[in-house]
Order: sequence, then structure tokens, then C-alpha cells
Amino acid sequence: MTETQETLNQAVQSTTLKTGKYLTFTLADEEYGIGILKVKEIIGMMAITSVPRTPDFVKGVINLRGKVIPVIDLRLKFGMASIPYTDRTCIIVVEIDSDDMTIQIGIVVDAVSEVLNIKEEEIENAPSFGTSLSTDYILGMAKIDKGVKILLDIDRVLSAKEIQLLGET
Amino acid sequence: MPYEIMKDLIEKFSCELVLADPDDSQTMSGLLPVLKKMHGECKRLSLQPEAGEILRARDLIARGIKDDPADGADLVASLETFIADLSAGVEAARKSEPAVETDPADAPAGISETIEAAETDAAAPDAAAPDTAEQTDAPDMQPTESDPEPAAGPECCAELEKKLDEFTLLIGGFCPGEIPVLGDMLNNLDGLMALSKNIAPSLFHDIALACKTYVETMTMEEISSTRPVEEALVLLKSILSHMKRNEPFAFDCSDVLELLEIRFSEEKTAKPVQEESAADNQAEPENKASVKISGDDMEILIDFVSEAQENLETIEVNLIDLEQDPANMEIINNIFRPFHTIKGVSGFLSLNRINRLAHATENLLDSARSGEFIINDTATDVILESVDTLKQLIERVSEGINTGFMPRDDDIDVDSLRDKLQTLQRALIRGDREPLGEILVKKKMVDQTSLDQALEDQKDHPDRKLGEILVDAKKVQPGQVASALMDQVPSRKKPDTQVKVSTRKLDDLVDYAGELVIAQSMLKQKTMDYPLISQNVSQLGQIVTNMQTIAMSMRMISIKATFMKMIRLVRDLAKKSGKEVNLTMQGEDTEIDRNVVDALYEPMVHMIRNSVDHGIEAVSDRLEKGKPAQGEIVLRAYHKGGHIMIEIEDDGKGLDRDAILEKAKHTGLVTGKENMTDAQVYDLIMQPGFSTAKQITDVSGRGVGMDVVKSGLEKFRGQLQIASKKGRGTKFTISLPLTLAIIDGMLVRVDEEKYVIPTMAIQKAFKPGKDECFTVEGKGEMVKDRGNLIPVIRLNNIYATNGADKKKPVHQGLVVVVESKDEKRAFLIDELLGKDEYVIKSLGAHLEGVEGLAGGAILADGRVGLILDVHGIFNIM
Repeated sequence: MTETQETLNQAVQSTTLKTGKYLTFTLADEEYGIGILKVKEIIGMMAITSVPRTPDFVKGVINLRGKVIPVIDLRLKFGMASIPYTDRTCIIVVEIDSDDMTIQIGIVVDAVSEVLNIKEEEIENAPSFGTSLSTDYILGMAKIDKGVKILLDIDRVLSAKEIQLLGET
Repeated sequence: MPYEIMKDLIEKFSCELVLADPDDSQTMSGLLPVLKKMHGECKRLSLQPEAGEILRARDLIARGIKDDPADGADLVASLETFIADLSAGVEAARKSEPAVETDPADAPAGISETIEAAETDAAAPDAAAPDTAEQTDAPDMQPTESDPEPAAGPECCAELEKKLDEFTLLIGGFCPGEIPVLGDMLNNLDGLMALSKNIAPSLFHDIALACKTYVETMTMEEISSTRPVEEALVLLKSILSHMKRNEPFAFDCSDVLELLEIRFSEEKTAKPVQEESAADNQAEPENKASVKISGDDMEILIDFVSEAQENLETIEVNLIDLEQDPANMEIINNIFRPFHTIKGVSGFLSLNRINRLAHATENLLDSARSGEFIINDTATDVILESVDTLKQLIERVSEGINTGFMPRDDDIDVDSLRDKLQTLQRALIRGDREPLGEILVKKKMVDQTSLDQALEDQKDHPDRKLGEILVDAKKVQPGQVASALMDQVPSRKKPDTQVKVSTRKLDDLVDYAGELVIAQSMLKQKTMDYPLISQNVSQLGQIVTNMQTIAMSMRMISIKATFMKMIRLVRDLAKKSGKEVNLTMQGEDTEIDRNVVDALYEPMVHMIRNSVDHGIEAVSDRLEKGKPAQGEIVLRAYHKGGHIMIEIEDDGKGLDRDAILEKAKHTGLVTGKENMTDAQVYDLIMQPGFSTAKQITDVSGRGVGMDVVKSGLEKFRGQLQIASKKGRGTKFTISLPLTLAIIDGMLVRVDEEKYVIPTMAIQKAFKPGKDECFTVEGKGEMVKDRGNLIPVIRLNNIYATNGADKKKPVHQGLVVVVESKDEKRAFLIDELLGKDEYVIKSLGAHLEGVEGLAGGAILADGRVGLILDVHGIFNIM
């Protein structure tokens, strides 16, 4: 019973999650997309208080109108070289489901591009790169015009487990 | 030979009949005892029709006496016929005795029914003999061997039915005081019991037995109510009809049995003599004490118990809510409903006491629900009391479920509580008024002596009002009485309407208020040079500060609910340990942050347990020491300098300094040579594993005591102090910050980063001289502070700030000496930036577990500062 329910839920989630509006942004030369419903707001770069004894990619915490939220540099998270922040550098505040509550997390991206309508048929499943690259948190690849956008399952990218796991190593 | 007796009786009756004067009721009623004896004999001999005839004759005589019939001779004649017929019938029966089969033709015509084969001892294998199973307990008769026939054969059923019909007749014709009829009833019941003895489910037999016990009681005492027996009769009939259809009887009959038992037990307590007679009549004593619970009942009862317990829990919770908001219909309804359920179900299950109590409480609540009055503290207390009593009663029921017998619960006093509820209800509806005299005295319009005098006068003239008497005596002015009368009518203050708001929204509001303060202070700095704007800005600042205060106060709740829980706890504990303890509360309206309430609960429970179990002495010890038998525990709450103080004070035996020291020496905590103050000694009991209790009890004394309390409180930045006097009592004082959301902190700079160190942990800060710094093996750095060497922790190393690689000598910086759990360290910092209050914010689930950080705080410049977890840092090193 619960099993079928779970698979059903997954099915519903995958269909609803894939078709829809995506906020796209760039990291180095790559284009990424996050489901628009996950995005809370986009803010410019602001003073980040670094938190010691955390993984590299955790830049620290910011004061978002009285709330302290952690900020993660997606470049570092994906193992890319970090670059100095520019005017175009943004923090996208996303709301993710962690355990049984939703929490806000900021992610630092090179630049925000646009909001795109992406249909199911334009999305291809994430390619498999074997063990060298985990594609767990990629929802799929959207082929738009000439380019390819990597659609992220942001809940997975930023799950507490993921961060703590990396923190330990 | 039994028939001889019968013959003798018939002869006697005939003689008497001849002598009797039909017009003289005296002589006629003289016939009755003989008839009764005959009837009994017939019964014994199982001469059914004859017995019936005798009854009819008896009725005839009775009617003759009562109505004084014109034709007395007729009566005598009919009685003569009757006796003749009877004697013939008996003769026939006697003759047929040895015969294996009965011949119906033997029956004389006068007897309306065929004589059914009379004799039991025929032991006829012939199933047609209708009354093989019928065996009376007459002492001169041989008891039958148990009947091999199926117990509830159709014949047997028919016989039972007949008996029951007869019994119905008897009850129908029963008038109070008619002993003979009662005797008949007993005979009939004996027959029923004998018949049903071998019927498999013993229910029928049991009920008959209960009936018999009851009827016997009726015989002995003047109980006129036959209702229990009637109920039982109906029940018996329905069992019988089930039997006939070969169906199992599956209905609840405990109520009827209870009815029979109750009547009996009431009578029994009144007249102890009866017990003997009851015992004589082979009624099982067990059966009287507790009613067996039938299987089907069991299931319903189990459901009832669990449901009721749940219901009572909700009632308790809601009552505490109601105290905060006494006019809230929603909450009253939430309390009313579970009582209603309990009432309904208990009534259905015939749990009379539970039913009555729940009903009374429900009534009270119902009036409150219809807005007749507002539930006040007294009412809440009484309702709580009723909840307690119900809990006890339900506990009994659940015991009963375990044992299979319904235990007695008459030791639990329901009625006085019920009366209390009813009185209270009436008082509340009237609107409890303060006596006029007291108001006048309170207002100093009249002194106590003249009031007493006036009250005396009033006794002589009960029709006069107190006010009149006082005015006449020139003690008060009429105007004063009038104003006092105005005050007497209770001013029903309408409670503020309240709104339920989710804590999340509240927290957000607090957050934004905090932000507003920061934004405002930034604005203030920027506008300092413009006097016109600056004035407006400081006005804004005022408003913002007010707003923040209100936002913070919204999170505050009164500590009363927590204290109330302690009342229950004390009551339970006192009962368990057999002590008498009274709990008084002071300052229960003190408000504290709702998070702190949670922090307080467990330590308080722990300490109250300690107080009741170890502090308060047993009643005998107390009396010996000249203390009142009832121990006293005082719970006190008050604000003191941004902290909430909770005191738990008992008047028990106090802490034994020597015993504590002894124990501490034993466990190696102290050498015994130290010169310790009392406070230091008492603090020893907060060491892990320290318990001076000689005995581990159910309640406390397992050695995980005060240390748990202490660490629990420290988690919430609280402290615990102990004051005690041997033999006089102990006082625990808990101090907790008013809110957990705010911390007193020192802002420090380490390289470019700013951190907040909780002020509580800081002992001192100083700039060490060159000669005060030492190193161990060239690495471990230490500073000397008043002769103590303290290890130095370089915060920039731990937090890997940008300047971490530059190793500045210790004497160039500042050290802050911090202490946590009796360990001291010196933090090396660059600058002290000031002391302030900070709102603690979680860093979010992702960063919760970071060692050495207690959370974040928004600093004055809007940035996030990190609050250090001092002890966590010690652990890192």
C-alpha cells in the first residue's frame, strides 16, 4: 500500500516537476535551471558571514530581513573553480524540503538568465557518466534552441545529508 | 415418608377449616400458615399442580379476608372441595411413587392439571418424565446423581418456563410484608436453581442464586422493592428463550446482577446479622463482593477505559486552557463533550458511580456552556477534582478487567463531590456575592465589632436587612451602604478577546521588529547631522522600540499551567509515598517565554519529586519533630533582573551536610579536608551519580538526580541554587533567562570577524603582560591569572580567519577568561566591541551541528554575527 503510494507520488512528482517554468542561470559556461516554484527570490551579492568548520562550498550565512540563512556557492559545490564575485553574481534564495520542514537556502550563481517554459518532450533524462560523475540531482537535460540547460533537482543538491556528508570528508 | 407429612398437613387443614368461622378473618387467616406449609411440602415433593391449587386456595382466603365476601359459606365450601381434591391428588401421587411411569389418568378431576409424575427419585431413564432434573435440597431426601441428560433439554426448558411463570405470578401478587409469599418465592427459586444446576453456562443458575439471596434478604428485612427480582425475572425469561432456540445468551446482565447485589449489600451493611443468614443460604460470598464480568462486557469495558482515559487527558489540557480564557465557548465545549461521552458510555455499562459523577460535572459545564456563568478558579478546581475521582474509578474498572471481576468502588467518595458540584453550580448561577458586611469592613466604613453586633441583631430580626440595621444604629451613612451594594454585584469583567496565532508568525514578527530596530539605528546614524530629520527619526525609534517590546511579550505565557501540572504531580507522589503534602503556589501569573516553560518543566518535576520523596518526612516522623502532619511545598515565581526565578521550597528534613560530605568523601569528590561553605557542600549533590537516598524508590533515588537537573538547566542558560537548613527544609532556586531567544553577549573582534561570547561564561577579560604568558613545549600557550595557569585558545586558529597564519604573540592581544562546566580557558581576541543583548537565530538545519557555534545573531550593522558555544570550543581543542 505505502509502496504503491510512494511510486505513485514519485510518478506525479516527476511529471509535474518536469514540465513547467524554470529559472535559468549560468555557472561558468554551463546553463542550469531550477523549477520556478522552488525559487523564493533573487538578491544581489551581500555581506556573507563565513561559518568556520564547514565545507568549502558553504560560504556562510546572511541576514535576509532578520532571518539567518546559509549560502552555498554552487560553483564550489559542483567542483568548479571559484571566481571573484562580480556585479552579475547573484544569490538565488530557494526553498527546499528538508525532512519535514521547508528551509531557505541561498545559492551563489554567476548570473541569472531568464525564466523559461520547458515542456516535457524537450527534456531528456540525465545522462549517465558512470561512477565518475553523480547525476542524482539532475532532473534532466532540456534542449532549447541550440543550447542545453541542465535542470537541477535542488532539493537533492542542497539536502542536509549531502552537505553534512561532504562536511565530514 | 414425605407423603405422611403432607397427609398430616391436609388433615390439619381440614380440622382447621371445620373450626374456622368464615365471618371471622382471624380464624380464616389462621389457615394460611398451614397452607403455606402444605405448599412448601408440595414443592418438595414436586407436586406442581397441587402446589398451584394451594396457591389458588390461599388467594381465595386472602381475598375473603380482605373483601369480606357476603357469602362466607361459599368460601368454606370451595375450600373443602379443594382440600378433598388435594388429598386425593396427594394420595394418587403417593401411590404412583414406586411406579416407573406416571399415569395421567390417576389425577383426580378436581385438580385442574394432570399430576405430573411426582417423584424424582424414580431416577427414570425415561426422558419423558418431565421433572427428572427437578430436585430439591430437602435434607431428608437423597440427592440425585447428576443427570446425564443434556442439561437444557426441551423438557427442562418447559419446566423452567413453568416455574418462571409461577414466579411471575408470585411477584405480581406480592404485597409488602407478606412473608408466606416470600417463602413461596424462595421455594420456586430453589426449584429453578435445581433445574438449572446442570445447564452449561452457569448464568441462569447464578442469577437464580442472586435472586434467592435477595429474596432471603427481603424475608429477613422489610425490603419491599421487588424491582431487582423483576428485572432478574425478565432476564431469566430471555435466557430461557435463548436456550430453547439453542442460541447462546450474549447480552449484558451485569446491571441486573449489580442491582440485586447493591440492594443486598446496602442491607448487609445496615444489618450485619444478615450476613450469617446469607451465608447459611449457601450464597457464595465471592459472588456478593464482585460481579463477574462477562466476555462481551469485557470488550466494551476495555474500549471504555482507554477512551475515557484519553478523554480525561483532553479535559485536563483544556481546563488549563480554559483558565487562560474562561469565556471561550470552544474550550468549554471541548471539556463538556468528553464528560458527556463518559457519562453516556458509563450509563450504558452500568458503572453507576462514574455515571453519576460525570453527569453532575456535565451539568455544571452545561450551565457554563449556556452562558449562565463563567467558570472561575473554584469551578476549575472542582472539575479537576472530579477528573481525578473519575480517573480513580476508571482505574478500578481497568483493574476489574484484569481480574475478571468488577471490583467494588464504594470506598471512592462520589456523592460529596457531586454535592459540591451541584452547590457550586447553584452558587455560580446566583452569582456569588461577597457579604455586604465584609465589603463595608474592607472599605473601612464600619468596624468589625459593630458589624458583629449588627449581625447579632439580625439574628433576632431575621426579616431586617443588614444595611438597615447598620444605618439605624448610625454606624454608616445610607449612601455608603448603597455604594457597597453596588460593589456587591460582581462586576463581570469581560475578558479580552483572544486570537490564536501560529508561533511561526509570531517569530516572524519578532524577527521583523528586530530588523526594524536595526534599520532605524542605521538611519539614525546617517541622519545625525540633519537636526530636522533626526528628530523624526528618534520619534520613530521610540515607536519601533515599543513595537519590539510588544512583539517580544506576545511570546510570553503565564507559568500557571506548569505549576498546575505540579499540583497533580505532588498529589500523585504524596499518595504513592503515603505522605501528606500540600502545594502552594505564589506568583503563578508570572509570565515567561513559552520556550522557557518547556525548559522548566523537567527540572521542576525532578525537584518536586526530590522534595516529596526525600525532603518531606513521613507523617509519624513529622509529628515526632513537632511539625504539622501535612508537609508544605511552596512554588514561587518572580522576575529578577531579566531572569525568571522559580523557587521550590519544602519544610522537610533539609539537606544533611554531614551525610553529603561523607558520601562525597566516599566517592572521592572531596578529601574532607577542605573548608567548604554550606553552599559548596550542597552543590555536591549536583554531581553526577550523587544520591544520599538510602533507598531507591519508585519515585526517586536512582542516582541520576540533581546533575540531570543542573545540566538540563544549563542547556537553557539557567542556574540552580540550593539553600537548606537541616530539619527545617530546603529551598531550590532556579534562575532562567526570561526568554531563550535573547542572550546577553560580548561582541569581540578576531581579525576581521566578529563573534559573540555569552556573557554568562565570561569571567574576566584582560591584557596579559609579557611575563604572564607561558608556553608548554613551545606550543601550548598559557596565561597566568592570579596565580592560576589557564590554557589559551586562539579563536582565529579554530575559526580559520584570514589572519590565522600570522601568529601574533599572546601579550599583544586581549584574553577573555571563560568558564564552562568548571573548566577555564582563555580566548585570545583582538578587540572587545561591547556588550549587548542578541536575539539568537538558528543557522538552519544545514549548519546546526557545527561545533563551537550556538547560533547566529544579527549585529547592529545588519550583518550576521556568530555566537560561540564556549563548551563546544573546549571540546574542539
